[in-house]
Amino acid sequence: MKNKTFRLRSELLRRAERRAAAEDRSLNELVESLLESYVSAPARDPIEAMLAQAERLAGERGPVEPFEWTFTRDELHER
Amino acid sequence: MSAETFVDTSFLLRLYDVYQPAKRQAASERWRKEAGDGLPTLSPAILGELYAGLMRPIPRGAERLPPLMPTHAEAARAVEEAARLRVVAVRRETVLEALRLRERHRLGWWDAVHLATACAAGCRRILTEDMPSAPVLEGVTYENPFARA
Repeated sequence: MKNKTFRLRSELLRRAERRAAAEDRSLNELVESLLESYVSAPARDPIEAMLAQAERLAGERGPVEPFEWTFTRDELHER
Repeated sequence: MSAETFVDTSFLLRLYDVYQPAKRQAASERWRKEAGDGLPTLSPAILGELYAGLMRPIPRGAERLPPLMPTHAEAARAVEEAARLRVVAVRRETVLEALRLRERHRLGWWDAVHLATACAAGCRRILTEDMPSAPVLEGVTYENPFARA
């Protein structure tokens, strides 16, 4: 076991302590459980995340009349 | 290796291009090929261009159609995900090299910056829709995944 010092917002800490106490858990147990979940979860792949967002947005937008367009590099740098 | 792939803005924008479904499909398929073998490379300059491109109205003749992203929050989310790829710095040496490449290959300024960045990062290919006059520059191959889309 190791000790580590954290800086947390007072209000967040107060709410976490209150809830942990209501659940009969120590704050230490709560932090350990949260960290365990975090490191156990598979890391999100940014490539898949980008594809998922693109798919969702295309679905939300609905049918669009297709046509060709492009931006020049200069247009991407216009102010 | 995906880290050897430098991704240009023109490619990334097509991932979200609802106006060109064939290109969006081609971009998605090519993007999936990059997954599972490390992360592709880009630069902070590409991230900036991506945001600008996602939020810019789409030109159709005199018309201006809605941008690829409906809100700043959605565009920010896309850029934040892209920022989790292999982002390499544009250093002073990179800019100085870009000056040389611009002259040698008659490139636009930002094209030269991106090529110099790709070279400095050890990339061997650039995924782009904006092909230069030669398909290989400085040992870096330009690949257009939309050539047949």
